[in-house]
Amino acid sequence: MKQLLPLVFVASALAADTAPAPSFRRDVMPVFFRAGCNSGGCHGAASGKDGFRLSLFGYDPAGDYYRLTQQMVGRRIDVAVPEQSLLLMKALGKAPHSGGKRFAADSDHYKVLLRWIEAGAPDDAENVPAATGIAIVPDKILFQGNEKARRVKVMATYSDGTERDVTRLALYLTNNASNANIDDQGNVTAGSSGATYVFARFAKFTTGAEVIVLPRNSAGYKKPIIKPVNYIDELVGSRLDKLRILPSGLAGDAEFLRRVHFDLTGLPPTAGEYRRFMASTAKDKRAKWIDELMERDEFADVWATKWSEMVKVLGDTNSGSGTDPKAAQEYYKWIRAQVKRNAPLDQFVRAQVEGSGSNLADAPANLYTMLPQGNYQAKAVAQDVAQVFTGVRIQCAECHNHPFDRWTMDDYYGFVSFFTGVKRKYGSDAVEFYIYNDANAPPAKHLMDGRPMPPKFLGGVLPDTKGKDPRAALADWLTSSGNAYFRQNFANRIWAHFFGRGIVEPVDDVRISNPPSNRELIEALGKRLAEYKFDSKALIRDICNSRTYQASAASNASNKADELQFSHAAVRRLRADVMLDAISQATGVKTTFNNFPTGYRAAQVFDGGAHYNHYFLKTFGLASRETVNAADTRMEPTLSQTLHLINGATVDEKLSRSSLIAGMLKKNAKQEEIVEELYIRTLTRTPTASEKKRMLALTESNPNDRKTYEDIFWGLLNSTEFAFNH
Amino acid sequence: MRLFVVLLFAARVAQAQLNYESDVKPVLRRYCFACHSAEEKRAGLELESFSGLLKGGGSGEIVKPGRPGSSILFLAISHEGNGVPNMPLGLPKMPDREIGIIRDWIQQGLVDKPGGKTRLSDRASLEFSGGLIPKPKSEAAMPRQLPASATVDKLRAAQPVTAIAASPWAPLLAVAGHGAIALYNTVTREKLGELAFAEGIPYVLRFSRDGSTLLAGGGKGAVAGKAVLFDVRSGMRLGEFGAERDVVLAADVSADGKLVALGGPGKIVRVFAVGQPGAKPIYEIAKHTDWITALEFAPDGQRLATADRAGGVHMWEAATGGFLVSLAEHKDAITSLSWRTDGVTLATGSEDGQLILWDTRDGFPASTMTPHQPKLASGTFGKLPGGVLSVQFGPDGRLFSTGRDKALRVYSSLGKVLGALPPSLVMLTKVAVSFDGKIAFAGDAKGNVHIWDGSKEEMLQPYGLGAQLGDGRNR
Repeated sequence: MKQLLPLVFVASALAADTAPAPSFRRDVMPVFFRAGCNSGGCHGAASGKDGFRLSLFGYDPAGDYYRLTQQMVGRRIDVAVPEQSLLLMKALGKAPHSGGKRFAADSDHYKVLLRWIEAGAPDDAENVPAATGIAIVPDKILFQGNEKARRVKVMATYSDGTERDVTRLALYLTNNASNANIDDQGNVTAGSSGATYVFARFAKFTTGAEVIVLPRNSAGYKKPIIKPVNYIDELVGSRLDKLRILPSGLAGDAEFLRRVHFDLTGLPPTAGEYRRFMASTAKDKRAKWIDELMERDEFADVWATKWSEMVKVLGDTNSGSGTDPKAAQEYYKWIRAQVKRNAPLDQFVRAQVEGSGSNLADAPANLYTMLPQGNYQAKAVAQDVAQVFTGVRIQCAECHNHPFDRWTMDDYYGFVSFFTGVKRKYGSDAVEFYIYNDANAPPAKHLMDGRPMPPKFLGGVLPDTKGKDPRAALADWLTSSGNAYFRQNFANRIWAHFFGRGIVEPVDDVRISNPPSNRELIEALGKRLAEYKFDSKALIRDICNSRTYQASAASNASNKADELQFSHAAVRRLRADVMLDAISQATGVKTTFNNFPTGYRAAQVFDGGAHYNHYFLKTFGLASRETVNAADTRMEPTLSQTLHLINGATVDEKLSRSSLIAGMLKKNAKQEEIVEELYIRTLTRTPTASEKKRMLALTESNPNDRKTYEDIFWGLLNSTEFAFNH
Repeated sequence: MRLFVVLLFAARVAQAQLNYESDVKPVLRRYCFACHSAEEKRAGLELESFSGLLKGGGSGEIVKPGRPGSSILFLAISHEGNGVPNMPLGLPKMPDREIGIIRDWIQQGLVDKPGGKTRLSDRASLEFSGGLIPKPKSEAAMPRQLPASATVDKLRAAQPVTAIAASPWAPLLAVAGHGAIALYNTVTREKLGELAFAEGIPYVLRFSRDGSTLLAGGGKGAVAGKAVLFDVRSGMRLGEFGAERDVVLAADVSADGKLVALGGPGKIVRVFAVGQPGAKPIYEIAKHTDWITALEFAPDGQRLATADRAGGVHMWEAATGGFLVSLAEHKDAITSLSWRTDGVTLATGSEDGQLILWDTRDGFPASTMTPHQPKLASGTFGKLPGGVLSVQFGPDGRLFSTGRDKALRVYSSLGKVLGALPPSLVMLTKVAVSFDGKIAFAGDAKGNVHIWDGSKEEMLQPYGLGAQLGDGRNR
């Protein structure tokens, strides 16, 4: 039997198969996605799993096709005897598989893979339609009464205009399983009352549906009649009404005063301020007081510190990269000056993003010394700029498309290219560096294939940056009033300062799968900020005057579980620097910081590096400024904090050096006067009748003994009520 | 006209002998002198002078003549890790062109100045001087009467050629199928019959050095694997070796026919004595960190070369498994290796694109090529897979290879390119060379065997299923 064939024949013998084979990208890859094959814990890991790798969630279809069909010919895909393909044997659990059985032989998933292999495991033609988006239907679900379950459908749209039901190919997750859960068929089940989101993921898209579960027993609910002060109260109120939550009542004057002082000045009110405010009978005394506090230097200190933490202003005495303490000082001074003159936030950001020149003379250029804190890397700077000024974290997309958001590797490298031209060169001084843009620098290269990626706005268009500094175009886009990311980022960061949490929380992790707790509210705040021409004080005024901000911290039966909807004031631990300054002010004993003149408060010390090793500030979680993460400022109470207040040097030393009690005794102050003064200085209130009775009982036996008053003072400084803003 | 000049220039660069003074120093000056000057001398390393570079730094010498992959300097600037820090420290990688200059200069033997001497040792003795294996006294083995045709699996599409072997003394070709091995007379091109391989798919086929037996290794993926030794004349099974939990990907019979070595995804090489059915391995090699993808006994009977999917190649004493030397230059899976019949050089092919000829006396890479890297179309980016898929020496010392560019190439015994069969439509997976060294056989991913004598091409279709021929132009 001769089987020798001329070549000519080989080339012309084309088989004609008419049955439409499943498409690798459109049909086969979604099975890997749904079955979890290409997830991070399995074959989607960077080095694969058990010798076989797929791209994480399928960002690299061509590579996946290669690895499946070409890398080890005959092994993973067996076109001659398709059902013996290792791919199928493993998925069915017929061959040992770390991932176990993924689906059954009678499942659609199996049939798709088998049919594809039977068709010869073909690659797709160039123009195979790609998914362009997904929708979840319905995107709002309300559970009331005894309703228990609903079903959502997930529809994908494709580049050829077609639509397809991908409910059985999508992956699902919930933001809070105690409120609502979702299974792999898209069935949503109600849990305890509240609002949350469920999400569907398909291809490179994630989309969410809001789920509201009303209290089972809300028959007795009646919408409260509360007069809104402004749009904030309207939007918070309508959200609370939707969730059947009753807000807390208005905070008393003393409660309001302590809160607004800490928030606007980083200090508690002095005893004098307390008495003056309490004595006033003016109807608009709260609004007037807010205006007054915002004009104080301490207001500028608060925000200069916050923004400095955000962009990592940090001096380094051994710096070969432009982060000398001199540069840090100049940068801080510039930031503080912007806050003091109430520079619009868009201008504030623009000056930094476009920053060029000397790190000593052109302070805002220090964005490019402080963010890198060392060697300049365009990728790291791009990530930080996105996180700080838009609240979006793009770093996932360096190596693969973002699994829970819209950002692709194309977005990432396009954004990096705004910063690839930034260079630094030595100045005349040893610590001076010049920041400049090299217009001829090549753009970033795509990780997958080295393709040059010209500058591109996040999710936006390609600006014309030929021969220009692309950062100017970036600043235009970033700070435009039409950029919802930018305006909502700042509105949210400001909001979080006054409520202890953002409407999106964390404030610097904005993504589809981390939705705002009140979308209408964050959108309105963002729009207002833009309408105010980015005057941050105007927005702060709105917030502080709102009834929402001025609500009591005391909760009621319907809102005690609420932590997301601002139905009552949040109880927040004081920031490290605020706490130290509050102790100093209460005791009248200033703290001294290395390299700073006496009298500087913790909130005024410009350089994170110089006082980060300060024991008190470190223990109470002052930002290290080593990352731009908002969580770098640690707010959680810890045991070592309590122990330090009880046993540590800070309170002890201040009490022993304080002349307050001695001075009052010298002036023959009465017992109750001294006790009251101590209460006002620490808790911004007078003692209650029972407290008063107990305190006076302590001092009764020896009314002139300073030690007893010091013990009371010590007790107040160690109280939870002192350590928290409420 | 302009194009011509550019080409001429490119050719000149490619052939130029690079030297430290004119080629390397300017590159180092730009990227390295800031820290590694005679003054700064960070990490004890000074690169401003040729002697300083040769001397190396705190952690010893940084260049090995002819071996960029083992030279710290190259590993550092190419950001290839292996515990070597990426240089220039904290700055972007140097441009590929500059890295290429350093690599080629190391490869050419660290010439110090124009007209200077290479530090590569004298490799003249690598000339081929004839095979070590004597022609068997008896008539070369050909199948006489094979068992009845035995394709156990019904094929619904072409079965890719996963293994192929040619007898060293007879006009006999073995081609792996699905549950079977097809045997052909290479002169008449006649199919002589099939050997059943119910174990699954053979991934490796090897004739013994005298051509009397055929070893087939394979199995069912992630389920079971073994190697089976067949008597060529009768087609009878002489022995079965190994009880692997995945397929056998690499196997060979020693020159004296007394040992069988095998390996696969289990990462362990097991060596058995022939003629002791069911016995435990006489030794195992556990040094490999990834799947065993290739192994072959040397024709001198003394040595065994084994290779893995991470790029590791090691040499061992065949009788005991005693370690001899590691051949460390490859950076990705070894796909294939082949001893030249005089036992002096060894060829390794890898998915990293390199085909390396090793001087096995000292483990030195005598010649390094990247013969199968396809060219990118203009306006496209990235790197196309350019791995070497199969290498095989012929009895005359010539070397053949196939790779991901779908071409078949032939080289002199010292690695000089002699010719090529232009890229096929489908991937050429495996290559074998006829007993007289005149014909190359290349199996492809569509079940065909291309027969090439250096000028004309013909084709066999053992498992190609005629109806499917020519379809599926692999991209």
